[in-house]
Amino acid sequence: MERHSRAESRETTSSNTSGCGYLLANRFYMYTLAGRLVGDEPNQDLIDLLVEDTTKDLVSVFMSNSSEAHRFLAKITNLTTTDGNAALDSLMSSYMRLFVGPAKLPAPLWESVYATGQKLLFQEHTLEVRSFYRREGFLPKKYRHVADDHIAIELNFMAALAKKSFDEACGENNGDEIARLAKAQISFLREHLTTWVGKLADEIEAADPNGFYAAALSFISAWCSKDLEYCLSTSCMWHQD
Amino acid sequence: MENYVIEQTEGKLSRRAFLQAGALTAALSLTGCSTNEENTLAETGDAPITDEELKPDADGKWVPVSCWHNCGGRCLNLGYVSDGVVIRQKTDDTRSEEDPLNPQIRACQRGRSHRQTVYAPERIKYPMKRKHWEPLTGGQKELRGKDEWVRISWDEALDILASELRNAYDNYGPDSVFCPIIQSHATPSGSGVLTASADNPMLSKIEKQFNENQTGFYKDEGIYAYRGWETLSVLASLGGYAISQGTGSGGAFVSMMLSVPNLLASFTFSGYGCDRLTNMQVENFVIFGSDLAWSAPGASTTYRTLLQYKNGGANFVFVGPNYPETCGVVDGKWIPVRNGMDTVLLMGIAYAMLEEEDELIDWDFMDTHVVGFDEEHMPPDGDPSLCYKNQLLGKIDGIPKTPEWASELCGVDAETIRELARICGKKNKTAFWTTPAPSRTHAGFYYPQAYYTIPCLGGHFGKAGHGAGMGGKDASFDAADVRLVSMGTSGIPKIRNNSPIAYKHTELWESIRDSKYIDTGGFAKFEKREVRDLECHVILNCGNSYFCSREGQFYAVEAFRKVDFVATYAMLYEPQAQYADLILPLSTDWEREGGIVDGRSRETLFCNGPIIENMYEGQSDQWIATKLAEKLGMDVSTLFPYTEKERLFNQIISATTFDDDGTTVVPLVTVTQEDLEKWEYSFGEPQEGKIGLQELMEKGYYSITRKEGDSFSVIKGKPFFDDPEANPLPSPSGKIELYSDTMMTALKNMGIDEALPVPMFLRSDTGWDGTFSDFENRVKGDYPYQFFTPHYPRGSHFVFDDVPWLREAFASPAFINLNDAKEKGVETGDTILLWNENGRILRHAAVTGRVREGCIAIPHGRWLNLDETNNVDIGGNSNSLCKPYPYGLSVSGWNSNICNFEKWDGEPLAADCDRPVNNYTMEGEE
Repeated sequence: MERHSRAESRETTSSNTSGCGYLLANRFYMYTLAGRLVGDEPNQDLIDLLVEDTTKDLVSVFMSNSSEAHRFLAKITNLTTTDGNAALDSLMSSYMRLFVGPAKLPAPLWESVYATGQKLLFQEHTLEVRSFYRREGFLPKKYRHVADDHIAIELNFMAALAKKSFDEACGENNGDEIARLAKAQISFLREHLTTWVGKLADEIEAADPNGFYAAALSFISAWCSKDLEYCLSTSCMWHQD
Repeated sequence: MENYVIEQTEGKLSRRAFLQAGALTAALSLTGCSTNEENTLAETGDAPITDEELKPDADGKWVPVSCWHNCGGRCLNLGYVSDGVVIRQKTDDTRSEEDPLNPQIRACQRGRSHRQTVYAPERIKYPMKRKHWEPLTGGQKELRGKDEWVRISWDEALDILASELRNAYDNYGPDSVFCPIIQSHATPSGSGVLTASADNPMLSKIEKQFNENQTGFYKDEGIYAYRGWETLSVLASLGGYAISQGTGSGGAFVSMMLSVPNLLASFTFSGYGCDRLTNMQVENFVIFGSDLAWSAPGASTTYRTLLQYKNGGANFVFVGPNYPETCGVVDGKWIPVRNGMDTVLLMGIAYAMLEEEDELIDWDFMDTHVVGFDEEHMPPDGDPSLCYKNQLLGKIDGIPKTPEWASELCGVDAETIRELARICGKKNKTAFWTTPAPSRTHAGFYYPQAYYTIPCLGGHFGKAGHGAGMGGKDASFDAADVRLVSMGTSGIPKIRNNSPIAYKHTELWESIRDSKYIDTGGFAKFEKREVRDLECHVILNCGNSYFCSREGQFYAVEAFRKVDFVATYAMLYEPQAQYADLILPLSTDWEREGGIVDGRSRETLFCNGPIIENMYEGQSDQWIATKLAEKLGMDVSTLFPYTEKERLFNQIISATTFDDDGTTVVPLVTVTQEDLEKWEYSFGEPQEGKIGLQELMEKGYYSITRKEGDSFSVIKGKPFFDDPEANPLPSPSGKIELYSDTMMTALKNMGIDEALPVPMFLRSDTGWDGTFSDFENRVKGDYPYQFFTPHYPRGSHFVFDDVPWLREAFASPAFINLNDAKEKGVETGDTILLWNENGRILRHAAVTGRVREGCIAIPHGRWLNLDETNNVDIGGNSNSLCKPYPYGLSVSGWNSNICNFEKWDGEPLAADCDRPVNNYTMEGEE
């Protein structure tokens, strides 16, 4: 799988891939990356992905003035300067303690916890998130076995919609569908991700002060807010007249 | 287009980035890169759905949901299920709140907070292994309880378990594998206690009666908090496993049941009470060691039954070291006795009855029904000089057991004792109830005899308005063991356990820690005391949770850190999972095929179908046992001939009840051919019963509606009481025996040389007498306070302690008498250290007049939370203090212990609801 590529400016053939197409594709990249950061046990693949230039470029480009992004980039740089095994081991310990347990989770990764103040999965709020997925033709692969509003599933949902927008814009280019997808992404960001990931990031910060995952979560929170701005400001242009 | 984007974002987007074809390629190549499938989405392929269809409640409905724990009650819980999610709960609102003939079965705060258990973020979601665990040796065993965890696959987890078991069985034999499991599951009949003693003819004689009398406790899956026998079948097939044996919550009543057959035959396990409607005729209730409002506030026993009696004009006396909330409900009188001293109090009452014998004692009844009280009425081979009357009058030891004598020891003044005696007299309509709590004491062996003596003297048996029963919680004040509706059997065979090893609970953890086994002559026998070497290599926690729930919590930590391998099946990160090497995630009952269970009320049975899907990777006991058996190369079809669904249906189709005549047993459930097909069940035929299958599954319960004058009233033991010659008891004399040579011999065998065949005040290290360094001169010792461990509304034993709502609502402080607190300068809310030679705990103080002076109530059920730096359990588990004490018949004496306390000079303890239930040490270090 070729995913490492130094920036090489070149023109492409499709008109839409030269503009918002890139934005949409890169949004997909960012959400997928974010989903993996919190949803996957850290492994060498993930570390490789983080330290490669594409990631760093995208993070710095999308969020050039963001202190959260700079902090996260600094953490990524740390990964490259630390002994590989030790870095991974340390990441794994943090990941298990913060996100998997089995001991009391300092900051559960489910939206319902922050939306309701109840440390509880599978609440009515979870069903609202599920409804969102369902409306767009998605359900968690482990539907009914896992709570739908886990942060990684929500981020992956955004990735899936970003991908759909990209495919539509570069393919059929149906204006109504592109607008509908944009509206859905804006709504999901507004009603869900941006309402709680900041609180989650604060709690992770408290549980893991200045740790890698504290930086990752505050970066993800900042990214979601930033992306909402992007969507609001650019979505009317996703459709190529 | 490109320019527009850049302008709109004021140049913050780099043109360069957008033009990176490479980045685009990279972005798209990420598809499918996630390594964790549970966080991914799948396309449904469905057309867009309208908002109306998306309303979460659109497909919701109320379904019965189970509360599967051992609180002592059983209630109706319902969950509103929408799209596979239980979004709220309620309880029985189907009938009038006040109809005594067909009462509601309302659930308590515990049952109604089940969503907080099932949907807790801390559910064990995956198999986990301890990071520094090593195969066969355990690796760094000292890290158990504070190590990190690694998520593993089910396949790896089962491989680990299978190979550790294989290693233990091959190299050390079955006795090296210990399973903390309630003893009833140890043998195929499900009544291990009796099968193990089957060579005793007396027990054989009463076995049938005993088994029939149980409320489901000894039937398979009766109270399905006691789960885990599926894996035990696998271990039994490997050659067996060591179990542990103890008296549990039944206290001396269980030691009587196991080891003193003539008393069991005299009193039966649960005594001679009447059903709840017949009890409407009682004028005085004398109640020992019971607080239903705390222990089992659901199932409406307290309010349904006792309030009805109260409203009917009955008076109540409650005896115990703390004021029961229930006493307040019925405006009763509280007799504050020192804990562990109830036997002494009862001896004083008996003496006071003798003082006014003409007025109070029913000598006619005594003459025809009772032996062992006086020299003229003795059991075969009994020594008349050692009869109970002689003991009371001081003819054995020179000390008359006057109310004054009793008062000095038990703390109840002599006049109150005499008043109690008058209430117990023959002219009153008085009924007695005791829980096992007063006998959950180290020297409480004589409590059953002392207790039943009083209603014998007053002649309170065999007639409406009288009676004397024993039982906890929802079984109280009803002839709960004479069931009117009963679930059937599952058809899953239980494989006999051939290991003879049964560690005594009273020395369980030290035995394992020190690689010793104490043999007293066999299961529940007390013939000798022999210590031999026995090394435990594997602890498999696949059933009961004994780590926290037996005496000597600190020793349990040492034992767990001693053995080679510890595996725990767990729904939540309970302490015995925390201190394990391997955790296997268990599904809850809500995630299984459903269940059927007898209510503790004799009139009711509960049933439910599947409710939700398995959470994450949790699996059922049968699934785990099946996969383990496969790994071990066993024939799974022999071990588990039925699927879980078939097993449930077996129990449903064989459930029974009575016809209106009260004697004809009929099937409970009507099953049609269509039902059989729907359930894909091929082992039975359609049948006619009292309720249709679908209706039962939708309602979640079946209750017999009582009617005045119906055939379901019970006066237990009536045939014997009406005509003792024609209907003798299975005791050697055929009568109620207040005297037991068996008891005396067993106690003497265990080193209590002064033991008698009749009730006596036995000295012990942990009773009130144990608080003195010099008892004769009443000089207090190092541990001058008694404590006891009441059931508390937060939990059901050790279940529910992690539930946020319950932690918030029920703070679980240590309740300390005003005067004791004043002496120590302690006020309500202060953090206090309680300690003795067994351990140290922190609690907040609740200073109150509702606990007797000198006695401290430490609610049981808190999870260990060991701060190893300060060597103190900040979780406040009472078993960190309770003494493992193999005294006499080895009763687990949770209600007779001693300690000291003082204001804690370290950091004040946060409220339980404001701190994590576990892993204090790990967090504290960071």
